[in-house]
Amino acid sequence: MSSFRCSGKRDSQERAVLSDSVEEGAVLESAAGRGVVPGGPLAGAGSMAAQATPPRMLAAEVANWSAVAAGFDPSAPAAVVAAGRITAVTPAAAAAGIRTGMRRRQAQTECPVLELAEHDPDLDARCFAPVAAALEDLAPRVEVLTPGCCVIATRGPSRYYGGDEALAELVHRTVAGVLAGASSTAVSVGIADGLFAAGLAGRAASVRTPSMPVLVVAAGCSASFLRTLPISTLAEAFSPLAGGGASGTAGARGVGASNTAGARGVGASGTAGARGVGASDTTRDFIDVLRRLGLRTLGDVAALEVTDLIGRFGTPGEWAHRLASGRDPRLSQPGVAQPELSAETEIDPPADRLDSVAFAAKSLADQLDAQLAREGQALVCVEVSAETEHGETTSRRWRHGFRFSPPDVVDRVRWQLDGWRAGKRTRASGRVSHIRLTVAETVPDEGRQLGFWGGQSEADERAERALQRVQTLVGFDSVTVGRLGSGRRFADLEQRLPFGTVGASDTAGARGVGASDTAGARGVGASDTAGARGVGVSDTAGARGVGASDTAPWPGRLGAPAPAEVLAEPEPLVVLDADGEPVGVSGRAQLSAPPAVLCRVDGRTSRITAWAGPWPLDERWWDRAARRRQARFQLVLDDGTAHLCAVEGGRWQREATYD
Amino acid sequence: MAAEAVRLSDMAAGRRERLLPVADELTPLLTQPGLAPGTVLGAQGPGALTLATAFASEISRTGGWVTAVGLGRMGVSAVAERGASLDRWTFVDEPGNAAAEVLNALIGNVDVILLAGSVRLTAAHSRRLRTRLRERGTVVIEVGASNTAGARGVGASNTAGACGVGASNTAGAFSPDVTMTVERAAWTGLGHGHGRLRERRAEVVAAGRGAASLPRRAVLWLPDASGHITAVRGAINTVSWPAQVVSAQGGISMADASGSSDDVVVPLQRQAG
Repeated sequence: MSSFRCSGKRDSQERAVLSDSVEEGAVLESAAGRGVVPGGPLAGAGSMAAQATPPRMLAAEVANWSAVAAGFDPSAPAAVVAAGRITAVTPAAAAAGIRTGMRRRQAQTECPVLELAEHDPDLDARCFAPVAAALEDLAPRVEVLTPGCCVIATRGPSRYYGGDEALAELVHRTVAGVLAGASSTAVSVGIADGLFAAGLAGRAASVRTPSMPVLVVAAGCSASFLRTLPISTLAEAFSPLAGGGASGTAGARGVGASNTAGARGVGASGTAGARGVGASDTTRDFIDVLRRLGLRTLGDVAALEVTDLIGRFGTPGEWAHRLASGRDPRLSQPGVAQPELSAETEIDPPADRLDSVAFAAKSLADQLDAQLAREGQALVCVEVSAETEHGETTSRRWRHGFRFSPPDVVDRVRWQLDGWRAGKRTRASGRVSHIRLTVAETVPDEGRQLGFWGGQSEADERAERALQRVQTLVGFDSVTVGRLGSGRRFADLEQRLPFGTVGASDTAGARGVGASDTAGARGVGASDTAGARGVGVSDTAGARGVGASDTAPWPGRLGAPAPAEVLAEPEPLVVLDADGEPVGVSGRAQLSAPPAVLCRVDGRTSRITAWAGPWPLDERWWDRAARRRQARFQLVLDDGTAHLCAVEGGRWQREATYD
Repeated sequence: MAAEAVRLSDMAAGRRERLLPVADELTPLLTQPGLAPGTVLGAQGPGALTLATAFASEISRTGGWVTAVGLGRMGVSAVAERGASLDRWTFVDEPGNAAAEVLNALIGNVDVILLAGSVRLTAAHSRRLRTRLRERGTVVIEVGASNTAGARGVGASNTAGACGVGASNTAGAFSPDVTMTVERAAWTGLGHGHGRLRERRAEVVAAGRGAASLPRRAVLWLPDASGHITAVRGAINTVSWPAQVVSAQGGISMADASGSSDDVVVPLQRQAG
């Protein structure tokens, strides 16, 4: 058991800075509220922790799962082979020098007594079912990334079990308990911000402390944890690059990619090979280029300007940078699918063979895919439910490292049913009569193959390329798109996100400040979040997701028309009454005198010809850091301009102008 | 409206040139029912930002890309209120010294560039980019002195008004083909300690070179109470140009039922209310 913390006290310092600035008129807060990511990637990583930190995830992995599933004795040298290459080895074989990725012949030369088995992905999945079931007893919504690797959003479970460490140990014990004795050493558990870091934390733990391979990376420390890791980790199964999605090719993704990437042997049935190899070759080439450029660690990548990476490598470069700097791009903007986006079908007559179920599932998956594509969303988590003619049901969530394509979904259906039929505790006694796929989670589709407005046109691509080019000129964060989030103040409501970090739909932005909040809701069940912290306005908005924040009222928000100009940092003002005395607002929102004259910092003064207010705003009084109390005014000056001003902490400031 | 505009202009002028769509309320300000590719528009006076957004958002709404350069303080909700698509509306807040390169990269690839009046170009850059604009068809809308509106005030913009051109045109990166000046902008709805800002009535005067050299005037809610730009009902939109000439120039036949051409014709009967 080990844990990883950042050196220094950056966290507490930041908190101090933040609270200081709140007292001084919350300059920093409002800047953060606009969602502009400040500074360089690493410099910015701290200050944007509030909104862009990926949710905390636990990744439980059984190394060389295929070898475990194949039933090899860990003390005997044995390996699993797929397409002529070693994909998983037993500890004894590893000690004998057998590595994943080796050719079969070479492995046999190294170790003549090596026992070999052909890779059987269905067997992998079937054997993994009890492990997933055991974890489902611990925490809700266990998501199976690949057979051999599970992901749990830790927020709720951590609280319940008394902290990340306790949860991690419990998960480790549980998984090790399910696996028979000796294989249990292969289990590793990692907790960190974001899936990528969590998975690598588990890997690191199995190297650092083999006796108890559990590693908890403290919140906010993912970036510094990742810094020293070798660059080859970008091709690990936890990385979206391994899925090849970043290369933008539609077909080139799936578990097969991680298969040849060498981490573990989890192939996705026969088609996986063809789909996977190309993708991982691309990724491998990419990593190879980075290595030849002298970048050995993720820290080296994170230290680069993201604009340079984009300029040279395009999208994969950007992904690599975000992964390396601890901002897992996948879950930083998790979308919540509309309720009940699902597809189901009766299988009549009930199917005896798995193939016919898979065939039915294929059409369902295509159906869902088409529907999500129309909404510009990509499927990352799907719930597969099936029912037998005797009324037994099975239901499981499957998460994909990058995004599901229809064949991927079909693979998951096969695996799940396979495990179900062979299962001990819940065993299917009859033929499958009903199957249902429910969309559990989507992300805005960033792929090129699916456009918004019925297909991405050439003009859109041209514009995107031009804007990427501008990003290399003025900086990644300086080219932004606007998103309407949630909040009462315009500075909260309006967010600016770097171009390219959000998907092509408005859904991305509407989620407001708390990406991690949404994650929490996802991990432990929305009702949990709502119940425990229902007051947190932005939290519930996050949990509700997209469409809701458009329709849900924000009492106290100013209606149309909206100001054409919203200042990122409010401009301080002095407002005087007719006698030349400063105008103040009491704690009970009483005005000391009608405002008459407005003075700016540069000495210019204007007469106030019309005004209304004060409209008090008291937000998040339960949260010392985020609370905000102000009285807002609309003022029309003698030059005809109209402004939105506010009194906060006894000081007047101009927040927006109705230009 | 957009498709119709294209077709009409093709037929009338025999050109293959595509016009970018403009909201019906704003067409009285132009000599054509849409924006000709490569045009440089100027917007100035109080409300210039709103006016520029109104022009760009119609193009964004119909599938075009808009990039606001140097307009860091632009409000996103106001953009959304005008009906623009936020997906295709990007901001380059601080082009800094790279303004010419940024514009160069954008021209031809995005449909509209909203350019802050504070962005400066050298004369050579300006000339070269102007040529490129004409070749590639991107429209630039310069949001002129709007940011200093507070300083100049209504009085100043009134003097700049009538003929529109002159005044602060020398400031921007390009000299506009047509300059829109917002005049007599007045907010309503706000009293002394009561009410709220509801709408702004403004007169917009467009004047420029060539066909646009005679000033055109439209009275608009900029914006109205719902955040849209609408024509003030009953107000007289004027142009000092015979109706027949407008027809020939703009390619709108007088029989065109789209309604917008009626606004162009002088004089309209002032309606009660």
